[in-house]
Amino acid sequence: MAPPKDPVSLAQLAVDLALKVGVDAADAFVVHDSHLDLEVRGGAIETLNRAVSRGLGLRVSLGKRTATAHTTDLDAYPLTRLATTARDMARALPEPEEPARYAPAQAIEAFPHPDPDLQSETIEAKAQRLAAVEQAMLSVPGLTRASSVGWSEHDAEVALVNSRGLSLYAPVCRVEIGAEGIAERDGESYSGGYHAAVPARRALPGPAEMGRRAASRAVELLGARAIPSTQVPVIFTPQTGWALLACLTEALRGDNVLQGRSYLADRMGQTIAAPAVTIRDNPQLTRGVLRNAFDGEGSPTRDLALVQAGRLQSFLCDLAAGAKLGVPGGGNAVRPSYDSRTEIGSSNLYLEPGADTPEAIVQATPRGLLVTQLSGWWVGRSSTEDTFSSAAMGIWIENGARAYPVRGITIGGNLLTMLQGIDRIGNDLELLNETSTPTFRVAEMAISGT
Amino acid sequence: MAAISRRTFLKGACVTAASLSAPALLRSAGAQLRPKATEEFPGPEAFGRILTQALSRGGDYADLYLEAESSAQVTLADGQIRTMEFGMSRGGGVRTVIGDRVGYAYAETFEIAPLYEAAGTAAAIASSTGGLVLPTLAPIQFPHHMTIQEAIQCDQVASKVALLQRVDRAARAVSPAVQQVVIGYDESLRQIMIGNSEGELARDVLPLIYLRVTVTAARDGRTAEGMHRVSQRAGMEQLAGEMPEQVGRLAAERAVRMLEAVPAPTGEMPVVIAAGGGVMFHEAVGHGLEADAVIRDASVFAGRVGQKVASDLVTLYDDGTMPSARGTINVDDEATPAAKTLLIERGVLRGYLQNRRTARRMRTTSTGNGRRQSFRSPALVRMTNTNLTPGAEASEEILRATPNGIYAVYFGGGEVDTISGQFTFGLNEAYRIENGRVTAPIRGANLVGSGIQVLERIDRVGSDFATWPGTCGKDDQWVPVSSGCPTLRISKITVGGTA
Repeated sequence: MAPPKDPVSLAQLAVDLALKVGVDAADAFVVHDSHLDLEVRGGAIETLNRAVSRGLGLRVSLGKRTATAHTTDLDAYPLTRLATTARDMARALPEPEEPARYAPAQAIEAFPHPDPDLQSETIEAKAQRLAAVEQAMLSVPGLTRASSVGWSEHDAEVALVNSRGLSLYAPVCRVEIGAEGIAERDGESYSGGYHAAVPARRALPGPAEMGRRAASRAVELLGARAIPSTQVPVIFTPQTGWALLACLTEALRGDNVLQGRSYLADRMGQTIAAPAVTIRDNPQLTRGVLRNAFDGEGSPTRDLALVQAGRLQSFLCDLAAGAKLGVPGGGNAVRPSYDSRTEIGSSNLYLEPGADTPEAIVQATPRGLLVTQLSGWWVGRSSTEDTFSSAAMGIWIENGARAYPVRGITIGGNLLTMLQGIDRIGNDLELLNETSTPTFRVAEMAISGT
Repeated sequence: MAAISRRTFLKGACVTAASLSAPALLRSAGAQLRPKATEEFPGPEAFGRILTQALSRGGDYADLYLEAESSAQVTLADGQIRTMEFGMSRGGGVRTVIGDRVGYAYAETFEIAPLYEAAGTAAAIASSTGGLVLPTLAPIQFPHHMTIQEAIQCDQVASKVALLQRVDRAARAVSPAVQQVVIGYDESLRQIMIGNSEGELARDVLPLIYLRVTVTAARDGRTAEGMHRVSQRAGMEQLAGEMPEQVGRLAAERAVRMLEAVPAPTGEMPVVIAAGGGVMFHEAVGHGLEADAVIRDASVFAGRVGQKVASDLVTLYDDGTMPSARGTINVDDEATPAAKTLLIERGVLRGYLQNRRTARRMRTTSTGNGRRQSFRSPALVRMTNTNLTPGAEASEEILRATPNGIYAVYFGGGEVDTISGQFTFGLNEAYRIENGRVTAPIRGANLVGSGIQVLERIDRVGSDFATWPGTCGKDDQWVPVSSGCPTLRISKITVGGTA
């Protein structure tokens, strides 16, 4: 008999079968996804990748012993076989200290589909949008060519059912656009781009705006110079500032805190950032691309202030970490898909905006660096390493004005020192990615040049 | 997703001492077993029908790539097994190529009807009526570069648990300063079958195991991390003997050493890279030599074949035939046999890495570097094992001959912008060199350089060699790779520290 088509019935069937083959508890996670990738060059479609896919992940427990099995092809690997494999694996495990946690049954109403007509828009229309972005890039003086203009959409249904009676469903939609251009002059080449990930097409800026921004990131680096090493204020743009938050998330994970693997473990309630700094993780955010009413374990999500007015206020927790840290309810379990394990992670993570315009922040900087591109910042990123180090490119600021572009430098500092040194925050927060910041300035950082 | 970010990334880390990385240790003189192909794939007739449908609206080329994979992932932390996962996936992707345009569609099954439908979706990239007549499909022969002596059984638990517990015990035994040991173990057995409109059929079986250990040490309020990783395309025999203990021990020793680390200096200085730091070449050179970047004019190496792009001491290969290495393949994901490709010879650029699509554009032949993460994506030009050829110097001599600088032993990964040529890579274990001697460990440093400039500054190359397993990301597709090199010195490179 063919497995049911709708994700909730499929997930329920998987849980029922697992119980039938003798497990004590189970949950099933089903993802049914329609996916489209599109790349345009010279105004026409160059690459087109399309598919509908379905996968199921089944987690089972025998007492405390827990194992997971996942599959895409239920014809080849039917549910009963999946359940017995998972059960036999759990049986063969040593008894752990901690049981696996299964969320209690409760009704959690999903948010409505953010862009229900997404698949009705033709591929040609989507290609037109990309072509308009490309055109806008090419009309920026100094841009030599558009090297890539792409679109990626996922229109999915997600179901999570467990043996405690939990039965959840949500539509999940993600629209992503990326454009990269190359500016060349006198034998030097610079690339720059624009990227946005949003829950609905209407959240995207217009194609002309996106194209202009992409091209500007490349063109503004033409003629970039090497500079000597120095220590100056550093202004992070929204394109680069998010990296700072991304570095922090590992140390904010409750499991890392509990395992003694976080430099923030002993800092709860303490001042770790400047007073103007508030950092939130909000899975409920209407415009957030990772908006969901429940997390990967089936716990209701909530708007969380991780850092409030400079003080460390919350860690990111799932059910297990939350129980131990005295913050029951989880809410930060992330499960990217049916074949990934559930881990603690951030959702819509952002630095709250301030009052300054980005221009005012530049004007208030007698001498410093506006960082427009970073690379390699993620390499040393871990929950125990509180150093930030990255190769960078940007614009040198002299007398409160943009002076000339710079390249071939790295910037570095201690993450918490950087957070405490944030002395200006811009009003230009745009929630166009999972992790976002407005423009902000760090009072002083080390710049390594030639 | 297609081309959202052209930035390319290399993750993962390993510096294996020479004794651990030498594949010869892992292949006994006894029976050389090819991994068994057990999957029931459709036959040539079905391939023919699907490929014909893929070309039903015209096109220059089409292929059907089928993949079945079983996998297991186990993690251990705090002395406890945290996760135990088993996976089964099957699916096929159909690609239609017409000129520079590519249509792609996939289905998560080997059933003919959905694959046929996918072929119709891929065919929509073209817009005329039919065209290519398919030749009869026949299997191609190719040499194999990996064997399994002890089978990988993804649904078996006990042996994996025991292995991870041994790693954990050995790591904790190194020092009371060891606070936390996190172990990740991944194994997979992938079976593929590819058919294309040139009439070629290829079948292959690919084993892979990846063991990664991260140890956190703490003392007097300071913490430090140390990592170690091993990976081979072979069976369970790759973790035979004392190998699991060795991996745990090396990671723990690294963490304990780094407890004493001081902030890294900032500025330009000489850097000696220990054997196994080949990530540098993967980033500095490798991505820029992938022909798709060259064709898009998004590489500093475009148009430079025959020119000097590095010092005389630099000879670099991409070697898909390196026995049992993590990046090794027997045939690429477009049915081109694996090859060892000379990229740079004594500093002179000799060629690029090609797949079928780029080779067609550049009027040359594929170098067997068409790889994909899975059936869900078409093949891109990807590296396999990228190796710098050893030279003649003793590695100790290179250190002695360096009055001051940095000794970089272990890498966390790297990134490159092929357009500007700027690359960066991160140091997880590094030391100051003072008066020709290795002194204080340093933390928190990236090295950044500009492609050709740094290659020209390689002024000493040692006679040792080691490899580093990693996972390379490009256009959101991740493939297993390795990078290898001897001890070498860069006379001057920018170190981004915090001091």
